[in-house]
Amino acid sequence: MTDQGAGTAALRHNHHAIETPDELAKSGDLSWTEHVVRLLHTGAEIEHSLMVQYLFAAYSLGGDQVPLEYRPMVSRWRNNIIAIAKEEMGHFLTVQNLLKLIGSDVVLRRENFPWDTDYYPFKFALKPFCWDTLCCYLYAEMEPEATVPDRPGKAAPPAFKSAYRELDPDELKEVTGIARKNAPDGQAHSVGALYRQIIDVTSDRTKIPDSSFREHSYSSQASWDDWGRGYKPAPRMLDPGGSIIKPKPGTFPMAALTNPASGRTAFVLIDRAATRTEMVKALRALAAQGEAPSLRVDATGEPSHFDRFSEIFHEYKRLLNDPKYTGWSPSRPVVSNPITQKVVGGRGMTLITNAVALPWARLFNLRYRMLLMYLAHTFRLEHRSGFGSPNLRSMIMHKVFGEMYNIKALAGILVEMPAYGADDPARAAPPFELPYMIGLPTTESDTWQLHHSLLANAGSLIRDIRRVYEKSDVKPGIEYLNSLSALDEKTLVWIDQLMKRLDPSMEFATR
Amino acid sequence: MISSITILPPFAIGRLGSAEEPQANYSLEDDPDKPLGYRAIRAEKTFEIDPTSGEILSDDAPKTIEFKTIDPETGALRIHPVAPFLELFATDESGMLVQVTSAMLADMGLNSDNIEWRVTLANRKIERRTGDANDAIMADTGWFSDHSAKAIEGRCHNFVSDTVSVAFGSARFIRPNKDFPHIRLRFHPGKGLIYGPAFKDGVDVPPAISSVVPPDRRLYDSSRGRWYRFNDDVPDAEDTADTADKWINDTLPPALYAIFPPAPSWLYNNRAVSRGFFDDACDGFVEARLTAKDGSVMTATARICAAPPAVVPDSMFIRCLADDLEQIIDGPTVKKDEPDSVTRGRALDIVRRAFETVRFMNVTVLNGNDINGRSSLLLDTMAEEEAADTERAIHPIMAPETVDTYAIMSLHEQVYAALKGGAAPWFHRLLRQPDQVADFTDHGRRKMPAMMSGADNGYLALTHRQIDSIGKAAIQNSAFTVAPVLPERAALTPRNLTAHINHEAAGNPVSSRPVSSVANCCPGLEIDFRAVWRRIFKGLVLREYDNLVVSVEPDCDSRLQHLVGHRILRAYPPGRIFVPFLGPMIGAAPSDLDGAVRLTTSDNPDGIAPLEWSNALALILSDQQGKTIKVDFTKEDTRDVPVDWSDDPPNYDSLDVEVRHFFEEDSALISRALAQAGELTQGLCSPWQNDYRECSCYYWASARPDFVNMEPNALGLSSGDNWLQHERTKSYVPDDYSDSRLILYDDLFTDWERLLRFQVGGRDFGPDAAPSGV
Repeated sequence: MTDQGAGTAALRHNHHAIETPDELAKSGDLSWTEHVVRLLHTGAEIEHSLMVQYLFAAYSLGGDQVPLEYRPMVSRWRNNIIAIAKEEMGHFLTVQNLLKLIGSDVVLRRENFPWDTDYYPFKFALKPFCWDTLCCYLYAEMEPEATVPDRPGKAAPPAFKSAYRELDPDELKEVTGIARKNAPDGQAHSVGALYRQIIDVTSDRTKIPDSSFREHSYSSQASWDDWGRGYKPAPRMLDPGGSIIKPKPGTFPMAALTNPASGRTAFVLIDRAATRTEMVKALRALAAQGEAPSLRVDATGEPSHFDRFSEIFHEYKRLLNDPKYTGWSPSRPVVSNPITQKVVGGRGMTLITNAVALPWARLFNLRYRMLLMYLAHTFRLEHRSGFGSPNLRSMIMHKVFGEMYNIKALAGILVEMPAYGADDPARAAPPFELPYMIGLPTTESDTWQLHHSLLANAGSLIRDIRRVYEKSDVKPGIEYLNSLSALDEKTLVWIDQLMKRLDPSMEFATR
Repeated sequence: MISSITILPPFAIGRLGSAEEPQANYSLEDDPDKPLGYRAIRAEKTFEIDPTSGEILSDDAPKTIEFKTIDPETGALRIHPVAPFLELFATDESGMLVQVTSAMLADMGLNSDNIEWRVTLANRKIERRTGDANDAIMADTGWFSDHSAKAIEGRCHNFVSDTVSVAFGSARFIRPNKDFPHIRLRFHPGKGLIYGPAFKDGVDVPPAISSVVPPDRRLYDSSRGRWYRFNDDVPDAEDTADTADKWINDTLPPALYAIFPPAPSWLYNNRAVSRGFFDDACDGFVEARLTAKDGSVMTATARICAAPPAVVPDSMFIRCLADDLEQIIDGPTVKKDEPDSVTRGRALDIVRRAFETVRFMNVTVLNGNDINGRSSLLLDTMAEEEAADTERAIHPIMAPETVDTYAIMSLHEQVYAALKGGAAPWFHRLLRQPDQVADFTDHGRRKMPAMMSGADNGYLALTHRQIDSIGKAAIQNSAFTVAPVLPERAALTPRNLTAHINHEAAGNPVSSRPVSSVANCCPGLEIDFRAVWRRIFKGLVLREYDNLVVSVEPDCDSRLQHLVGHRILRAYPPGRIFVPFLGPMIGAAPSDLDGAVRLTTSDNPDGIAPLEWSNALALILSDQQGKTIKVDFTKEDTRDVPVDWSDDPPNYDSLDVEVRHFFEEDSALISRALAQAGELTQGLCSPWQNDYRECSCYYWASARPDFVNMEPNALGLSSGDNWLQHERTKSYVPDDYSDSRLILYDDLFTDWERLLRFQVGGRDFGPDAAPSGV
């Protein structure tokens, strides 16, 4: 990660000494409620970017260069990073819920990569997994107290303790050194600092009046029931009097303290909030799991993101120090910040030019966009959907999950393809490019028309890929493509049915 | 020279039907143009048998496959019975299995006269309830070597005479000829007739009997046996079952037989007075005997059964009998050196069978949602079952807003597509572990497979082996794209038992094989596989559905003879801390969103649930067959109430018990020591039609469909018909057992061949596909 800019200011964020950065300061023309909305917008954008960044790193892991005996380890790393990405998605949805609580709409947008923010130690970028990226992620998810001070004369902090692993002072120094090398110029702050200020402001009744909280939005907020997909610990056993039964060895939460982080599934926090107190609690919980573990209010026994990265860090370090290690990379040689079309000022971006990979990459972008559109649609329909029986919002929610599976499959196919010429070792990668706009049309029928158009576009890209394959004996991903095409056809029939009801006069062109 | 003979397949399923012509042979194949579609039914070579000579005249494949036909004389709809062939194999000098032919016999100086066959079948459904050995209906053809069709006549001590019988069908030694020289027998099952009680002259036959059973099928002497007016549930004046040994004969679910209306019993004060019906479903053995020139004799045995039709021929169920048998053969875990592509292929196959199952389930109803404003308590679902078992309020399993068949099916298909693209499965943690089937917290009840019952009456779990396949594929090399491939068909060798089980005998359709049989038997459809475990511990007889010792065998070790009425708690096979035979029954804490509590009732004060034998014993059978292991039994007689184990003070005795072999030596024949003829079907409904009425679709969605003709509607949700509704309206009729829009008990008893509609491509199929009334 040598091309992410330079700077050391990011490392000056011992949270006891946090100064309010300019971007955290309230603008005079905003109310405090608007200010919190603005900060939450930033939080949503950061969570979105973190999720994508970690997914990219996870998908890069693997490749033929990994010796057979190390493949389970590399797979474990991948699963661990994907678990973090899933948890970031929970954070993302929680922030949307909090926005709704204080009367704002949801925020799905983010900047394209690479981009910079004052609330993250370095530029967000889509980079393959390597020692440097790992150290940067570890640093970013680290407790602020644990970072190495760069002020002369100040003693180094004690080793950072965690339930799973600890970094000794030398390791801390190495991690922070690498992160520092990759930090951008200028003042930078942690995500924890952002959440800390939202908590501080939200907690202050003189700044955010009770009337700012829309209790009625609770039922329309995203719930773990809908989105959690079972990603949380099993319930704790209580005795008939309601007291917690002391767990036997090998059972939760004892297992949480003894199993490696990679052995634990993600704990997707999707908190809903109806009150100020619940909002603060939700913020603390997501910050504790992620970038500011000190905000944790109780010991859940679940690994934090630091714990997960730390486990990978130590395993990777052992590998690097192993005399038998021959220098192979745990990740494929995927390009960084891939894009599918040239952009003005696209510094640090990499254009995929391979004739096969390019339509696949565009298909990836399209499915990513479809995911976000479906997601946005679920939030809109929350207001209109009844409870207690199946509704359209939930059906669209299933489409969101379907597109997540597509993204997983497409990423797996892309990272096996050349990015440029067939003989060039560089591999393609999921671009995660966003379209010119992220937003739904105003009317319901136009929204369904948009979903329909996106599916039609996907069909067009699938035809592009098939055309390329007509000239080739090798057709990577063709079985998936055929299945995806069949699924899309079914979805189009489904949408046609819906459209007839919304606007019977509307007719689609015959496909 | 040959050293031994073998009959393959070792277990063949016959299926009932009254059409003259047996079901034509067909196979299933993928349609490359429809990767997510239904499996394509492909016509295969079908033997035409000369009715006079018993030889094969031709083996042409039919142009189309039909499952039901119109009787040209009466206009009645008749189902083609599945009449499987059983082939004789021999182990030759090179140790290979070769099919026996007339030429091979000639080389040995023999001919087909030196081959003899015998078929013994039984229906013990009545005996299973009454406990009266005189209620067993037994048939034995005796040894035969000619080529005429041998009637298989089931006789019973409690029938009115020795001359009346249940027609279990026929068996025929197919005459080998020049074109078809192989040695084979064909089992032709019964017509699916219902039999009943006989009355003395002058006694008015109740309409509930006469309307279903014609005089010539009233065989059971109601004055001699207890089956007529037998009452399983309520001890009252009519009860003939309330005897000291009633507890031994209890079944799970209870009753499961035709009763005097109103039915079902649980809606009407548990009054379950038997109409005395029984059927021609059965199971038993086919034996072959080869007498050599020197007088030496070689024998071989296979099992057969006669079961209801497979009405969804183009779909496979998520857990089938073949999965359970493969687990016994290959163990509960996947071999470490199995190629990733094969493991992922198996995971892909499981996902495919998952969506093939889901698409026949109205998941909105099965989730426990209120329907059309009517309480879900009125409908039989796992949510309702769970509420009844735990005496807690019914509560939908998933968030009620999220459950719709079309959407859930599409999601499964999406998973399938991703796996096809080389992605590793990522949903291992979502699978229910076999010891968590009674976890009724949302965390537990939302695991997969969802909304269906397992053999233990808890939520269905896959086999350990299925779970391990997905787990290994999910974890081991998930960072690496691997194209899934289905395992190649194993070579047919004497020791490759998997190949034996899955052997595709010439002429046999898929529906005759274990892959077409549901395995979550509660009680089951083709067989009640739970019954096979009753004698797995030598000397003891267990109840098939829980951990209770109900009797001891005559040669039982003296140290074990006191165990009748005691419960088996856990075992200690080497290498494991212990293997539990029961699990905790837990549910959401009423006052703590993140808490769980033991669910106790006065009938179940410890809040425990017995675990299905098939999965629990898999951890023992993998390496302990024929060996002695330590097993904990309750110290006390606990026949009346299940108990958890306790170490303070110990409430159990540890005793050494021998684990029987599951298969007979060098064969895939389920050991005769485990189950005699009739015992694999004894727990099924009597008559079997009751099962289609009473046991809801959550047992076997692909074999007993629930939701058919399904398609998306203008609300974005699914529309379709209840398989058991008379009129196809695209408006699902919730099943409350009494709605006149539904096919009810007597409809099925009298007209099942017309009313049970085959489903192909998810639609009504066959000559009765058009909407029809009663």
